[in-house]
Amino acid sequence: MKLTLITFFFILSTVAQESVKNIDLIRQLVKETRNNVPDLSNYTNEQEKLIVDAHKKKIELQLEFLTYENVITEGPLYNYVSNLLERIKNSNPQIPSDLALVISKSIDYNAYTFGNNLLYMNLGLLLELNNDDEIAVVIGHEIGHVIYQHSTSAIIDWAVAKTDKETLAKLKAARRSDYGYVSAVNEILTPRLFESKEKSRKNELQADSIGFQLIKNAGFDVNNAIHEFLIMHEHDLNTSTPLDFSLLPKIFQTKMNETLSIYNRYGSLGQVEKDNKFEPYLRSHPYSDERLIKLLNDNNLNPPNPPEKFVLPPDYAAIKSELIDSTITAAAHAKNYSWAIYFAIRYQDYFRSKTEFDATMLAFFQSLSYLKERRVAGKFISLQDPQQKEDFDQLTHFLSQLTPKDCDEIADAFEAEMKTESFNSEAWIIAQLIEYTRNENFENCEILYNTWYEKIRIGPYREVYGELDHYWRNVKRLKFVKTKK
Amino acid sequence: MRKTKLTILLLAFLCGTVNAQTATIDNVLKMRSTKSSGEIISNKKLVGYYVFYFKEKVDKKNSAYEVQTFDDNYNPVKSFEITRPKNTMFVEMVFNGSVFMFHFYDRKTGFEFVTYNPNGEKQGEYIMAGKDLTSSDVARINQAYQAQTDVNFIYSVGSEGFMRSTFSKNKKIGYELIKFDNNAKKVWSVESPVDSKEIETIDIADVNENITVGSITRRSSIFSKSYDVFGVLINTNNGKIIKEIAMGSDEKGRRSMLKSFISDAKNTVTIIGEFYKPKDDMMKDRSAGLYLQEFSLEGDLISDKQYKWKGNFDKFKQTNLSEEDKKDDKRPFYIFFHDVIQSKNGNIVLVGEQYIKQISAGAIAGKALAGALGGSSNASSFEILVGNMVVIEFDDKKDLIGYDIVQKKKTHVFLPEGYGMVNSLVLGQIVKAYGNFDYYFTSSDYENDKHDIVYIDADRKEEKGAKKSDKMIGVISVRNGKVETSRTPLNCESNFFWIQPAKPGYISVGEYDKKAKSIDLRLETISY
Repeated sequence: MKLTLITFFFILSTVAQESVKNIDLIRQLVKETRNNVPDLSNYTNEQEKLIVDAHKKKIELQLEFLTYENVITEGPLYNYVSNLLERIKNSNPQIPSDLALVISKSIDYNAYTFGNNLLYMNLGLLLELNNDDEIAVVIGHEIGHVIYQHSTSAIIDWAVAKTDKETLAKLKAARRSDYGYVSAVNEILTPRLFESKEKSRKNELQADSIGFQLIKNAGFDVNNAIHEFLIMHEHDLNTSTPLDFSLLPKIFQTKMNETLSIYNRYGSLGQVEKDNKFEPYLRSHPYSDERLIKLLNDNNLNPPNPPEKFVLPPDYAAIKSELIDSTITAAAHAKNYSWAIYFAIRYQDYFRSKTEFDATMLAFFQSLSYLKERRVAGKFISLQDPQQKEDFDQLTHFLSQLTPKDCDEIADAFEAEMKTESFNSEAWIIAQLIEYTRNENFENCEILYNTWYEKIRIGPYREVYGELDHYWRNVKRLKFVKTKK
Repeated sequence: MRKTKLTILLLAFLCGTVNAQTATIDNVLKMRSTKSSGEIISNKKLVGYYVFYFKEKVDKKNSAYEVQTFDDNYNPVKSFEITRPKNTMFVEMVFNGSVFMFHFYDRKTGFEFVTYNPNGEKQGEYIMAGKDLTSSDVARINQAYQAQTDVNFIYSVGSEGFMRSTFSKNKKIGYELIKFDNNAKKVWSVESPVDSKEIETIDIADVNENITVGSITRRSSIFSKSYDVFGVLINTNNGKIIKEIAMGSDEKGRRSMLKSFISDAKNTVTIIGEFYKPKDDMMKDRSAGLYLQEFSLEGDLISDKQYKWKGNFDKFKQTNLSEEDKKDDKRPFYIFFHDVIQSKNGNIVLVGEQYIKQISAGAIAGKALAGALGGSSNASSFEILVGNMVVIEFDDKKDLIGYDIVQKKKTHVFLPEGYGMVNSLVLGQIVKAYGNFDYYFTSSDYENDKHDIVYIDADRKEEKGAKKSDKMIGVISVRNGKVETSRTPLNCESNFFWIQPAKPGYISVGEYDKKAKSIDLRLETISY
């Protein structure tokens, strides 16, 4: 990588201070549901205690989770999604007026609610959706859970089962027996487990149904919205359209092909028959195609076409840039560079500019090179897993096979692609810090460190920064490193 | 440095964690060392891991156990239940690419060898009744259990079966070499004569589908200082002895067999060992050098070369030794050979570790202190000093091309009372059996001709003045016959961490989070 002394004008994500206010409001909203316990007059004292305790625990867990580190509660992305919720609320008076949402900084394709007045939408889900209608169908579904109080009914079922005298007597008898305890417990509890999962699946279909109605009422295009089920179906099957490497530097493609020649989808023990005969009965959610068919039949809709590359609505295109930023940061903060790089490649079109994409890739590969040298890359690269999407698994294999030199060459190629050398970003700073550290140019490290410490330590590359910090402090005993991370 | 296995868990469930860089095992309430988990090895390559744990009592006599296998990326592959007589000891598990062979030991019922296919379906079993077991067989299992070292007595024979050597109760102790098929049926066995007046034992050095290489030792009693050793080539298909290879004589000088390997490419067997001067005692005297003998698969001698410590090896004297090592260079260290690697280009690399018996200042001081306090210490006045790694290289013509000392911090192994009188060769075996050498494991990828010999360096500083890293791994890499050495610091977030062998090219780092009661396992590349 060339050493270019640059002027730093940063496009640094806005953080903390402003969002604190909103996050406090949301926490307050959750706190207010502390006493929202359903009518428990039909339950025993023991059951009532269990239900109340579980309800309190649920609130505590949410309050613990609702921090800037875990959720987004401000900014254009938040406002955009939040406005969709407001639009649904405005057309459906049965929705509780205090219902709000947060964006969870998780890269999993998921949304959920604890049943009170807050919905959680994961970044990993929003990133894969293509328009307002698809987002709306997810919001509608979660509102369905709130309206039907599925979470509360699950807690009540659990408390009733836990205090069921007949089951307790059977468990006690099993415990008294010297033999076959685990098998006996399985025999007693498995039917209950199947029963609760079946109920859960019914609840999901119920939430789908009402959610669909809610978004229809709000004027969303249900024919568009239905595509969300096709995306979910791909998740069920762990398939996706393969990553497109054609626009990446030649050296990336060459090395990728080299590693693919020794890629093995299944582990060293071969493809072993899975014990999945109970899988359909143990699922908390019905298969997505089953959900889709039910919705199509109930609403007299035609089957949707397989998803193609959508032309994003103009408003949503800007939001996508925000999303790719946030999701990559979330993956990098979770030290998961496999997913961060995967998202960057899959959604390269959504970056604000090609230069920004190149700078991001430069930073990741420069970082990987350093992390591999220090033998800590294992904390940042996923383990191969045949249960994952094949293109993700192949990328993971590729990343784990690369040597530090390979990573440097790829980083150099991305740097060469960058339109201007003076492009400035956190990606560029971390790449420079690594470069200076490897060249033992600690004077420049110190300048960068002192200037940008506060920014970098919360930015997307903070975990690599942590490794650099460890090296400066423990191996080089550098005096400019004063503050512990 | 003692390398204890720490990979097992109580109430542990391995989660197939999505989006995870590490394999996470939750609900680990307590860590303890046991032999109930380990690596699954197939054809000298780590292909996975297993966990074997108690599930429940089935009846008065039997218990149910669960076997969970994982691939080499820690993905759960299969879990299946096995019912065994209660108090069954799980000894070893080997995979040959088609089936797993489990070795169980039960004090009452004896040894049982059972094969399962990867789907957990039992294929067959072979029982050796308790009354037929020798005390030596049981002792070596108990010793490995206590020392928490690996038991490695079963060898896979391609994908068609297994081989195991065992002691037999002849007039005196004898041996039996058994080949099993994938249904655990005995295909053939080779036994020492039942009425032999000597103790006869066999050590397997290498096995493939066609040939088995080993050495047979005969001595009049277990304490006898004189014994005969000879090599043996056996046809793996029918058990017939192809060739007995003489290992010298008192008049011509004795030979020991350290290692051997079968070259599939060349269809040859190479035996490597030490040779002694005429009349020298292998148990007492130092060897004069190393020899390499190459045989055809029919047992015909192709070449026989000798390399003397004085005259051949000393030509490769290293100049970059530290002052301490220069001094030590004059000390008569023994070398314990851990592994031999043959690269595709024909080069042979021998990896060993220096050790020497010496008076232990610490033990003597301890004895004096214990005496002054009116007590006693059962430590020997001697100790073993474990020194540097040694790498010896031969080219494809079997010419000596390198003799390198790989420096590492020396470690001390204290010997129990009485061990001071044991000869150094046997002490080397004892140090090995208790896992006190710094050599850890060899990670081999024969297909791509990549081999990494991993050892632990007690010098944990990356450079002068640096803080100590959590662990310093030394790596001797052999790539296409070329040798390179490196030191790799490993740092962990938890105070409770360990390393263990992993798939070729990697080492596994495990960390236990006491607060979260979880274990994280990740893979790091050994060398680039």
